[in-house]
Amino acid sequence: MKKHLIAISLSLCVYYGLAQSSTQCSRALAQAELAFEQGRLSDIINTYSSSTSGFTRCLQNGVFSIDEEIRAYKLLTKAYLFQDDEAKAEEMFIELLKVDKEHQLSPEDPAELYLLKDKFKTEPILRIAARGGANKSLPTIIQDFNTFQTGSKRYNEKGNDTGLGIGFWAEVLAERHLGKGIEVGTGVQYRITSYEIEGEMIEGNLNYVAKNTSNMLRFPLMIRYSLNYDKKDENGNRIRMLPYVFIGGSFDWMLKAKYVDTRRTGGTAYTLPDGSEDLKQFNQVANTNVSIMAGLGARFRVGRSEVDFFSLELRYDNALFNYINPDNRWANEDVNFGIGHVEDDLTLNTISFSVGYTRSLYIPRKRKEYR
Amino acid sequence: MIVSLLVMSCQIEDDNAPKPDEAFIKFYGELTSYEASDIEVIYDATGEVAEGLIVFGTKVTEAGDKDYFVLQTDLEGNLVDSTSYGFINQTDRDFTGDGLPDDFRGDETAGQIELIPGGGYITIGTSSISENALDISDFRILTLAFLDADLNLVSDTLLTLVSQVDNTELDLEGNDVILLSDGSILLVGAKEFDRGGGISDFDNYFFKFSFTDGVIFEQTQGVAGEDENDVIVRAFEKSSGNIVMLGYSNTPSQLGENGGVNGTNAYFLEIDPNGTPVNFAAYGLDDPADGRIYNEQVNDAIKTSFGYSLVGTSNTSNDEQFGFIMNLSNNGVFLSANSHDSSTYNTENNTLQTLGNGVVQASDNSLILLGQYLNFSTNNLARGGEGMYVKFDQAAKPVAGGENFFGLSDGNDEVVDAVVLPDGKIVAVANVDFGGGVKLISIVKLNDDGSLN
Repeated sequence: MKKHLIAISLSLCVYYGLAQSSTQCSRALAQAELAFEQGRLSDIINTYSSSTSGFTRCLQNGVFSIDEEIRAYKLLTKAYLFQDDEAKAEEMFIELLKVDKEHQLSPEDPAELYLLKDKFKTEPILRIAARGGANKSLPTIIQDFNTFQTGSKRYNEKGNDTGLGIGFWAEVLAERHLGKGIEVGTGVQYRITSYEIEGEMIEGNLNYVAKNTSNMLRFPLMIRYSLNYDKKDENGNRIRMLPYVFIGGSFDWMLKAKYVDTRRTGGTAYTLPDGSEDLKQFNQVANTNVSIMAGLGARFRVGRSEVDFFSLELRYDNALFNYINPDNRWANEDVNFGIGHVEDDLTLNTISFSVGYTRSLYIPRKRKEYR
Repeated sequence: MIVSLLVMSCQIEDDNAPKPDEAFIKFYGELTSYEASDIEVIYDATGEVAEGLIVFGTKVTEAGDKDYFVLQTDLEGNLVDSTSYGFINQTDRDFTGDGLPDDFRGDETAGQIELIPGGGYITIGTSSISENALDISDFRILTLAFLDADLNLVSDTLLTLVSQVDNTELDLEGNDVILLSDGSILLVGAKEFDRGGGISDFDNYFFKFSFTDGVIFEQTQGVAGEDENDVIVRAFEKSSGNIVMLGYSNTPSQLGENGGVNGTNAYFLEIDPNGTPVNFAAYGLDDPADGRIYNEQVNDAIKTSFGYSLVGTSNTSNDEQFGFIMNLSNNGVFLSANSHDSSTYNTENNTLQTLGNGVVQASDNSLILLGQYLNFSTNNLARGGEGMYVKFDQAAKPVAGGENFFGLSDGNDEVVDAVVLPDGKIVAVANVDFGGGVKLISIVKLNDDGSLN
């Protein structure tokens, strides 16, 4: 019991101490700002230079809140700036940018600060975007092939047996702003695509369903134009929603392609056996492909600094080359005879919806011409 | 932008991609069970340009009996037309000799289809007819049909021949029909006899007639005796006007073993234009090493660049079955023969039994034996009866890499016959068994090594 009382007492003391420090730091910052208004710039600099001053200890020990820290570094930047100590002003401004990545100056800020900011790169060096979502396959037939006379194969019709051809994908892109809202991005994408075919060999008597699923590693390269990239509203705040459009291309590398739940009904029901479901094994799909893509979406600024984004996107991917390897179309007899299915020549296109998060990465530094 | 991309979906076609006519598998059938027995190439009026394919076989009707079935496709295997017809006693014929028209319906077994120059077809087969009231069952008669170019049965009539009008126990089988250069028609098959002690055996049967002169000859030939069967399967006209008929017989062979008691051998019979036999020969496969007796049942034959090739199934004295191929000269001299116990697919069986159904000579002059592998396992996969495609050289030796199988893993599938297209590709016709009574005709276009790609 005695031990518990001691522990509780110590906790209360620490909490009080911190609260007291926070209050003292706020007061120290307010005093420094008052000194700046009164033109006592040397006092501010001397206070900061003294490692034992409350202001300095608050700044170096991280007792300031983020807003207070921004105010403190901005105050020091201005103080050094007006004392014509440009080197220290730049040092303080870099510290400011470390805390507030794309610090937005206010109309009240002095012209000297604007000039100083212009010497620095305040935009991100890179953005890392992660997106994920669902896709719906839209196989486009180049040339159709059938083993049966009705000739009608239905793709993704969600009939009695076929599904919608839904798949999933995720990507990580590195993006860079080129200027005027135009960005380029490249990275890697993992995509699972499926399409389902229903074939009616004899109406009502002999039918099959073949579900073709592929896993691809894709390497997209895209260029995007965002509206409102640098725009501010009437209050001087950056507009939070950035609608965008993009186009691009992708090199696609097939990792896996197989039949899933592929079966025939009628006669003696038949399910494609293990060992016959792998299209890669029979070399029946193209190992590589090239796609073009286009899409639109919107990004929403999130976070305190509003430099990261949450995004919603709609995208269309159009493969340029045949998904099927025509040389081996008939290579799998269990599919041809057992199921009664043969693949059409097709491009495997998709429309997809995704959500994403974009993180901006910065290295605050002076522009090359000012170094 | 997305909408426009959707509408104008981009794709780049590979110039080297196969077109639809380069390989295909096509299934045909509407109801339940279809079986093919013959396939031929349809040529234009000049006889030089291939225009399509015609398949002859049978189908099971909704009433449950088998009718003849004719299927016409283009060269890419797309259905052009089809028809079916079967024996019914439309003309009130009295086959039984009781003075009353018979109420027969037949179960048809398809033989061959012959193209009529200028359009139309002749089909021959055997109808097995039954009439319960008269206690008649499985009375087999030869049935012949003329179809016009649109597959209409001419005069809606099936022509019939019976073995003996007043004896429904005796059968007459129709196996092949050919148009002769003098405009007459030759039918061949086998006729059953009662030689005084009941049903005895079949003899070779050949029947020549013309629409102007009527019957020119109706002949039988063969070995008489209990189960001493002689059956003509295919017929070919020589440039001299003689006719070569190929089949199987219990005539002792001139080469190899004679099939032993009631043994069966491949048979060559040549007749002059008047039906008089001028030459015959019988040959059997031999296996002196283990004393097995091979009984050859010929199922098909073709005219080749060197003479004739016969194929069928050898039934051995060890109760095995092996497809075989036998090559004869134009004059019926034995050239070469071989039976086929597949060494390619018998990875887990000591001997893989096979059945021989058809033969075609490829553009490189090799010979392709078509038929069926019985149940086997290969590469740990168990297969049911599979369609067989095996390539032999003219010395009847298997060609390396010229063997393939087709069909469902668990169905009783068989390749029946094939033709060679002008581009050298092979089109085989197969019967593919989907189980549960569903059997479809399949046309498969192949490279001449049996591959599909």
